[in-house]
Amino acid sequence: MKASKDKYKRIPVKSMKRETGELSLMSLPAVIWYILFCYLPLFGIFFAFKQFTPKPGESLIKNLFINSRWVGFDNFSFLFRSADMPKIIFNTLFYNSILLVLGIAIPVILAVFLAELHSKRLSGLVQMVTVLPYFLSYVIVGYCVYGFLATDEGQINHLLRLFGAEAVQWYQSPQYWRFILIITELWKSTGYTMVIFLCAITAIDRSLYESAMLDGAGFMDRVRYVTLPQLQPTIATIFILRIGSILNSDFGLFYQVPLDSNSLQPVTQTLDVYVYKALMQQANFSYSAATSLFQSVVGCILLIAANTIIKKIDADSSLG
Amino acid sequence: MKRYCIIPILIMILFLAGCGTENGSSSDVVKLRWVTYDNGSTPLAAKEVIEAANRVSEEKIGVTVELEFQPVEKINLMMASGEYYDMVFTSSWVNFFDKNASAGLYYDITDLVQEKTPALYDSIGKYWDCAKAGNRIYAVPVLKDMGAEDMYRLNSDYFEGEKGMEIPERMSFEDLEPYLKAYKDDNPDKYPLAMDKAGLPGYLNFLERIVNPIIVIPYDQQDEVKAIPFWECEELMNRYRTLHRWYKAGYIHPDAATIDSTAADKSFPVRGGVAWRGYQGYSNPADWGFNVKTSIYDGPYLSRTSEQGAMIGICAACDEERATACLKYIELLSTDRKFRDILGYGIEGKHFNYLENGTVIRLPAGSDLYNTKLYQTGSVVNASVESVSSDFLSDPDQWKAVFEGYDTDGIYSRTNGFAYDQSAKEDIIAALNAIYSDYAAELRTGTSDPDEVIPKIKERMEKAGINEVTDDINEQLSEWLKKSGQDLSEETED
Amino acid sequence: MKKDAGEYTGLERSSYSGTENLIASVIFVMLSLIVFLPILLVFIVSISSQDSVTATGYSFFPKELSLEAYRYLFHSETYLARAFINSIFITVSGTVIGLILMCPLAYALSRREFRLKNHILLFIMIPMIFSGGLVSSYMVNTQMLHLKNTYLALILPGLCSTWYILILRNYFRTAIPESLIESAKLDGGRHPQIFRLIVLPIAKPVIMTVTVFLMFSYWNSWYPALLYLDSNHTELYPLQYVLVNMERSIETITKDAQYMSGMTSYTPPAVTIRMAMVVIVILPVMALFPFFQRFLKTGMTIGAVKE
Repeated sequence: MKASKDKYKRIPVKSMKRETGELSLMSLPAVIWYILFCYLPLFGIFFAFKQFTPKPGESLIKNLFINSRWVGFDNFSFLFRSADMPKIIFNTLFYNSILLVLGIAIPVILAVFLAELHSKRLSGLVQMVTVLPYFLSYVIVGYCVYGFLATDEGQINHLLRLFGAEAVQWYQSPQYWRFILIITELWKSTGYTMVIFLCAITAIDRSLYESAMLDGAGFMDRVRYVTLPQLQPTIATIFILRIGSILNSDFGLFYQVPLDSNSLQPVTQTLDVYVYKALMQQANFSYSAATSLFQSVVGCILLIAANTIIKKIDADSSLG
Repeated sequence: MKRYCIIPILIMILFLAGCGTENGSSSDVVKLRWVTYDNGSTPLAAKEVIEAANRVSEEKIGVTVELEFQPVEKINLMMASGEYYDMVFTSSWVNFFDKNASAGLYYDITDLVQEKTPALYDSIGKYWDCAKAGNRIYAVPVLKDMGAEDMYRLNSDYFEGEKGMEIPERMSFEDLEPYLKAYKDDNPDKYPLAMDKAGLPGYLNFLERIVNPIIVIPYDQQDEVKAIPFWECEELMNRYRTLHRWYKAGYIHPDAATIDSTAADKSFPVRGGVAWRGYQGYSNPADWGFNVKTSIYDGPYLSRTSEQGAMIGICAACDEERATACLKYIELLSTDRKFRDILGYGIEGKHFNYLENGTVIRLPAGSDLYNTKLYQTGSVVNASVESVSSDFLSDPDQWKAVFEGYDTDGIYSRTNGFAYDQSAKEDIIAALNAIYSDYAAELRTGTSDPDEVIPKIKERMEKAGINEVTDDINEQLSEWLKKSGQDLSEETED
Repeated sequence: MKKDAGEYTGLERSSYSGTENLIASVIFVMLSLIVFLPILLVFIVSISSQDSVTATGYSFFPKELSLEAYRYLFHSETYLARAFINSIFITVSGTVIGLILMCPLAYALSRREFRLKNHILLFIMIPMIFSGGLVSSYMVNTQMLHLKNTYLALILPGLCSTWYILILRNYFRTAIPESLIESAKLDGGRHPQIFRLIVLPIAKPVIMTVTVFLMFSYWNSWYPALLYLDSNHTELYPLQYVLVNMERSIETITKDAQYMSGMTSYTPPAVTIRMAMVVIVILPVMALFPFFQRFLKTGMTIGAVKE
């Protein structure tokens, strides 16, 4: 690593200018795309501080600045009208932090073990099967879960009855659902993340393994001294990005999978679910803008914090 | 970093340049953009049907339309982004009329409609009230079933035939119990009352719902008209208690609060329904495999909510000429039956046929490619009545009887015409909605015990500030009553 | 060495012993089976008859099999055929253009000598956290870019993703030996050439991974169609939106059966249709995956390139 840094310093300024020019040119198309489709719509953030009432047929500028009233932070107030907000935030953070850890750790472990399988045909099959749930929408996942947990016809209650146990009314029993939701999310996303890690493993320089083997390193040593350090940047990237959306929860997971069952509300109410329920009747886009700004600001602070910490530990893994 | 400051400025400039209004106007024929609710699906044959309709309307009044069927999300988005349209579907349940009208999004047609399209004005009659905001008219109500009659639909082969029970034309909400019990006794593994998470259709219709369905005005309030939280309505509480009793007795599916739809299972002997007298869609034995008899338990209730079932709003940005064209077009839909049937059912001979008694039957191509509901495309009353099959005919004049029924038996809300301006309390209402939906499905399916749950709801809603909203409503209401007291008495004299 | 590389997807020489490999294989097979069960359930329900579903719920052992759901979905073939072609067109062009935009940017970001690297990184990170929301992007796309009722509306908004750009960049950084690029530069290679001739072939595994996920997200997307195509332009509808439309209309039919004005005598089998739709969506993924696996193997010759 040191060597490459030194090399980098030795690059003459002139060629660096030229290379930067070339590389800028290569980034240009995507940059234009970002301006058009991500930066232009950013004016939507203003909605969070406005009572946005556009008049049809008038220009946007007029609608945004003249027809709409500034309301300051009023649009945020609906979030805190509910006395449950601490609980809602707790739920959101609870699930996200558990999934943050398990959602990275499990795929990494599986990827590491899977990469060593002798039969690559089997490895491919495992990848394909485990990635499939990622492609199902949560509505469908909700139906699948219902197939297992329905009171009368559910597979699990069938099994329980078979063993003489009492059938459980799953959708009325919140105590099981923290577990069920986490398992469901892991079931859905593990394969996808694992494939990303497997792909990252293929990038690892073979010679590192060979020299490790010559040194007599066993499987665990190889993982510890070669694979994991090499995966570190990818792990860090995923970690940082997920931290940035710590207040966002997958609406499908927490609303559609529990089929919006009222009894489960204490454990399924996350920020996005609350906002959906609050605005379902009203379609108030200023309120949604306020919510997402709130989520973004918190996420942004955490992301910067995480990135700074990671930078201190290993500058190469951090994002710029 | 300084460089980045340039970007927002650039963006703004780009915007100034880019965002303008399009207002395509042509020489003679006025072409209107009409956005309507799609009721869940796009009719695939829309294009050719609209072309056929345009040929007629161009010849008759020189107006054509570009009719778009849009989902709710899209209509909301369109309204929120200030996109241009000429006519739009608006109602008490999709694209909220009260909110948009008070925000000034619709054209004030009060004078224009009387002056330019008197025939349309006369045809609506007393139902203009529901389209008023602050005593000005902002939309054209679609004449359809204006009041709601809630009914049970019972398997008469079973109850009357096998069990020898009688199904009366009317019964009370609780009177259903013996029927449920009879079936449950015969079929202990089955659940007699069809119930999904939306609850029994129409069970709330006996209330004028100001903040749907949390703050209500019961129709039978004796002296003073006052908005109250729903838990203070004893009748509603009793319904919840009854439902809970039924749930515990096994008349309702244990997972009802999470079930989407029970339509697939045709074996339920009892279902709820909302319709109007003479409606036959429930009774065709070919649909159900048995004969169905309906028994009304509520209604007909006429409220602002029910009368606002479907309306057509005209964009405030229209000039008078275009607004007039819109009205002319709506008038044609409300007076010319043949023309009305095109947008309602499609092209004659291809999508539908007329039957001998003047009713309409959809052809396979029609029910496949142009299966729209009448209320989506204008006056329902002026369209021909649809028959379910050629040997199960409907009464071609059913609407006459229905509207006469409203005049004689209709139970009218005393606050029709009152539109609550909720803009000051919107944040509380949002919080209330969220709280309500934490309990609603289990309450209305009978899953939870109201006497246990209501105190919890009450506590949470009071913390969120429901009293502020109720007070605000009552203040506006008493003001409205004072102002319109005179108008009301005049109207009743008519 | 070369021969081995052709056979192995993962590491050239596994450090598992025979029994270890057996244990690991068994564990992975069991894991896959558990993961696969719900999907199997989806498939079985999709070929069950509606009556059987109402009678026994979602069961692995339906009483009666039926292809009614598929028959319903395919009953208007010409229309579906058009939608199918639309979907393929949108998926292929979206994926290809997306890769053409993202890969060079990711490469630029992976180069240490790129002086704007950190600026651009920040530039693409911001939209990942802050977004203007639905209304404003709708306004931009319809009122400014005039994408309404065009294929472009379905292709352009989904082209780039910061997430995939970062994945690509990480791969470029770890997989491509610095020495290789340095020597190419000494030979007078410019960055676009280096990228095309050296980086792309080596980075096939990651590019294929991103391709598969990108393709799928296009294949499965219908929300842009809902937003930007109106009912008079059904000829532009992608397959997914047509299916979603069918599902919505079935939902309406089943709801209308309770509320007024329902005059339909045929209730389509809603549940089985929903499941059949999933099968239709997933099949291409299953078909594509082995193909994609082959490219993962070719990635393994990096070692050889280096020598």
